[in-house]
Amino acid sequence: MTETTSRHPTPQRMSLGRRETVAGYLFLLPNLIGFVIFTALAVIASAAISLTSWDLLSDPEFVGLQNYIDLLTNDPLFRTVMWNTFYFTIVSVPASTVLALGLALMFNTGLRAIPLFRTMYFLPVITATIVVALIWRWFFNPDFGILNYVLYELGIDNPPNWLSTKTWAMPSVIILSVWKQVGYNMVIFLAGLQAIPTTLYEAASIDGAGRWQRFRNITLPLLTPTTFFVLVISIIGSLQVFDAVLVLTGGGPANATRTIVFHIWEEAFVFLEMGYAAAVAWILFIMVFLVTALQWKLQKRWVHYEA
Amino acid sequence: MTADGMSRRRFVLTGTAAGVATAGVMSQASAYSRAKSSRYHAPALVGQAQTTLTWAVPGNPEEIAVYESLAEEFMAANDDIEVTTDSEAADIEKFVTLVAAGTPPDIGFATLYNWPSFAERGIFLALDDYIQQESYDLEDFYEQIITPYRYNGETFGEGELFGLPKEIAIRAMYFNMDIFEAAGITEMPTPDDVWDWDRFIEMTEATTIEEGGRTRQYGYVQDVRWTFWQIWAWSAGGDPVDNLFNPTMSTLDNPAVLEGYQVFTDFVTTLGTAPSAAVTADQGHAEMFAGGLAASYNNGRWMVPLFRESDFRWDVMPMPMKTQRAQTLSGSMFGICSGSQNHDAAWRLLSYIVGAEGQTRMTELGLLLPSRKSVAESDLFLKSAPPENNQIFLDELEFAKPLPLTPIYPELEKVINDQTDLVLIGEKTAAEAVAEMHTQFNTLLQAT
Repeated sequence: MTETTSRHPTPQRMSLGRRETVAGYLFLLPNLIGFVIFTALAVIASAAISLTSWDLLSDPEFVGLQNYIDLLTNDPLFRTVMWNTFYFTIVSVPASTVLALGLALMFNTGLRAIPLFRTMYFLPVITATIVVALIWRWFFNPDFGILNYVLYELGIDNPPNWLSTKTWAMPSVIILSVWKQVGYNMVIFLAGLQAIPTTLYEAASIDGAGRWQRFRNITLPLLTPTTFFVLVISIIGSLQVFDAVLVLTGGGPANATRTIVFHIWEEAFVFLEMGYAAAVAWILFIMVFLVTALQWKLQKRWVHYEA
Repeated sequence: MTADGMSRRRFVLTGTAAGVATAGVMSQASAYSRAKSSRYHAPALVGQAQTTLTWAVPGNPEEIAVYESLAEEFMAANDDIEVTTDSEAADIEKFVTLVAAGTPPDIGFATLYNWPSFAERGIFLALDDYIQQESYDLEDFYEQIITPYRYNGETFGEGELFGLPKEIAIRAMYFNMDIFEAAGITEMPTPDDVWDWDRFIEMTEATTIEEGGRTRQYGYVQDVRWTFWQIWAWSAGGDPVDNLFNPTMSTLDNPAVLEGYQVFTDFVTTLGTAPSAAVTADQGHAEMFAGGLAASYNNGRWMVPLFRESDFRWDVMPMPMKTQRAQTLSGSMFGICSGSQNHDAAWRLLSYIVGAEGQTRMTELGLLLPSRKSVAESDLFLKSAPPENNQIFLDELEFAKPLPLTPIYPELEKVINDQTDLVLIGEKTAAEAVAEMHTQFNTLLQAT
């Protein structure tokens, strides 16, 4: 296969196919080495650490499954933390998905200004969360912030004390996260929308289908692979929300916005309980794994891949 | 191979060259940014043995610049030692990681409240041998700020000395003279004129201005952490634990503690003369005062450079009192890390940097209350105005006590902060919060 078409003599030792395989692995190698050292080994080490009690400064002390037992039976914060993370995910994921789809539909036209709008909506995604959160803290200020100023002008006399009440603290974090993430989901939905052949729409309108019917029967079903991807990625990300919480509310007020990763961070780096934090991290991993596995299994029911 | 366009070989060569160039540029950039925190010094003359010391330096860029110039001077006087300052190593998370990795800085930094967990784990080296050998004079340091850095394995305040204090942190009450006058207060407070709580509360009510449903000026802005409200509790006569240097049980059930805590939280909850946490979170307490939005503010002397840029007249006044004057003691220290390879050289550097020269420089910056009497009681500090009433910092040192010194300080602080959060958002009364703190303190203290 190679001798007759290539202009150069093929080396005796390796076939072209083999050579390309080796080249492929060589290209992967830098990333793979980085992954093994900084991710895979760290994950394995964290599993080992979770079986110990370790304050980073002294030697680790083996305690078996005690950390796991403690966090399931002896940690009042753990339940709060799970609930907060669940609350955050169950609101922010649908919100950002639906909004992103709406924006993608709006921007899926040929208007010349559209790339500008798409950039505007994508900018929050690439801005560092810390920066975004610092600015939003100003927005959320009850006395001097722009959000309450607008609400006040709209006639709402008692706008909420966003970051300092238990009711509104988590919604504030959700608002920030949705604002930040929607551009990313929008770009993915746009790609998905553009993969839908326009002939289908034309055929449907000839048959008399209205806009809503076209949306429900063509767009949505053909968009399900994209929607699936967006949901999986969004859920995995939401379960790990941290920077926004750290800067916006510091886990407060009174642990109302304390999420799992925040709990891990504080246990590990403030209270110096590395083993315990590693155990919580593994519980998070199992949660994310189970949720993703569940989604994967369910996809047969609702995701239509084009034949 | 393509006939037109770039050949594959050309692509690979150009791509590799570009990659190497980028890597080169980026490593230089990162070396440059690291160079900002550590200095490059010309190597010693050939033949001279060089010891290299790393010194963890805390603070903002101005402070770090002072430390770097001190390092320069030390090196000029000591040819055989090279000093590298490292501002990241002063950050506690980085410091803990460096220690865990076995590469701690030679001179480490710790605040008074981080120090107990380091003490327990033997992170710092006992300095008594060096002090004795060189008859190092500890007399010039204020007694109160040296004692907490002693540890005998069980209790703080006794035993060997593990660090030398670089400054004392006393939190005085700043006040805005212009706002006071506008509210009709004609007599400005002086160091001898200690107000009682009622007079202070009256002042905050007189200086809080509401407009259109929102407060435009507050009588008092406060950081709500333990360091700050404990002052009020002490002033009413309430200690938080049985022994500040070796706590074993909570004494938060003392009614005096609740009295102080109640008054403190009332400013936010019932009187409305202090802003809620939400308002101060992003405005920042200091920035609110500096912006002329508050009549008074409780914090340390490091605020002075910021306030000197404000366009109103201000000064400091004594902390208001109930039955006795009170103040919280804190500060920070430099010490030699046990894991350092160069104890002797590190001692030479340490004794230099907490010397009078170094403290004089820092005092010139206006940032701190020096831990050495010779510097603190000199005109350099006392006449560094504004504030005119610098004497108050020294006066209040007499009444200053530290918060409990224990390795579980972060856990205790978290209990306090969680409960205070609930009180300030109106979900708990001060009494309920203090009762809960008392229970949790005892659980935590008895577990150690």
